[in-house]
Amino acid sequence: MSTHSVFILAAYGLTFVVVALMIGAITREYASLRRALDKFPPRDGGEDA
Amino acid sequence: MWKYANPANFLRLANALIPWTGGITALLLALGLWGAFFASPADYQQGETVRIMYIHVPAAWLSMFCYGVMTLSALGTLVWRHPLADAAQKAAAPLGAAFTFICLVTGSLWGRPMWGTWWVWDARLTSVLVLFIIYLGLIALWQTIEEPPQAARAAAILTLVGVVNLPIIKFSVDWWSTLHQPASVFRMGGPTIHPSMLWPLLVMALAFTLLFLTLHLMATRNEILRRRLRRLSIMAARGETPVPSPEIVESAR
Repeated sequence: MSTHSVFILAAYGLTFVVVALMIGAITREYASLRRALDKFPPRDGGEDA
Repeated sequence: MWKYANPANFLRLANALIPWTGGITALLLALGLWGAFFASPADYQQGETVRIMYIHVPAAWLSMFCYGVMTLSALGTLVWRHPLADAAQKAAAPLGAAFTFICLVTGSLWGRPMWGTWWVWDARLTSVLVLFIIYLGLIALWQTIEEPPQAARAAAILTLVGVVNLPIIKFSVDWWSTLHQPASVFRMGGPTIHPSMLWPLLVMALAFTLLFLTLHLMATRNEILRRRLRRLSIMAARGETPVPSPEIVESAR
């Protein structure tokens, strides 16, 4: 690696952190919504969304 | 296609697709990173620093691609008034902002050792910064307006106004004298990048595109469920019998 390796590591590290935050936030919200929806009992008939 | 524009059908489709697109994204990212770090050579002028290109360029591509998706969704909202179009548009905005942020910061980290400066107010950099501000403005707009139909209409109009920035970003390096280099992949006459560097770049671009599609499917699914939950909560508060669609509940599992 060159003397500029700190810039390369910073670029890849930042990208990893931002992508991980996006995935984490979306996944956490999905779990939260699923838990909230589970509180409503399912019914027999169908209803279009 | 219109069949899957139904929210319930979309949820079923998204649940089936997300594991596949996510898995393919992971494989392509692994291949692309291997190519970027081990299979491609250092640049004869930039040295190892050129490896920032393999994330900067795909992020830049995604920042514009995401806005293109939002523009199509905005048309779907204004022309067909389809609720799924608004959900897709709203879900895409934070993703677009994130990829534009990555593009700006990695560009700055690339520019410092190559240009000797973190930032210059040239046309390419400034127009991408404007794109980032438009994304933030759209996110703020959705959070400011409480009524979803009004927020959807306002956001769709702002999105269509902001689309004028896309050709400015693309052609800024041709129209004005910029520190940023001209296009070297999508240009008349073909790419100017050596094949040994081009293939990892294209693999990373494909991986980023699939990453966006995966995240967009997940975020749109969340948006549909959030609206469903909001409607059920309002019904419950009014004393009505909140009955969720079995399709929605099943899709959420």
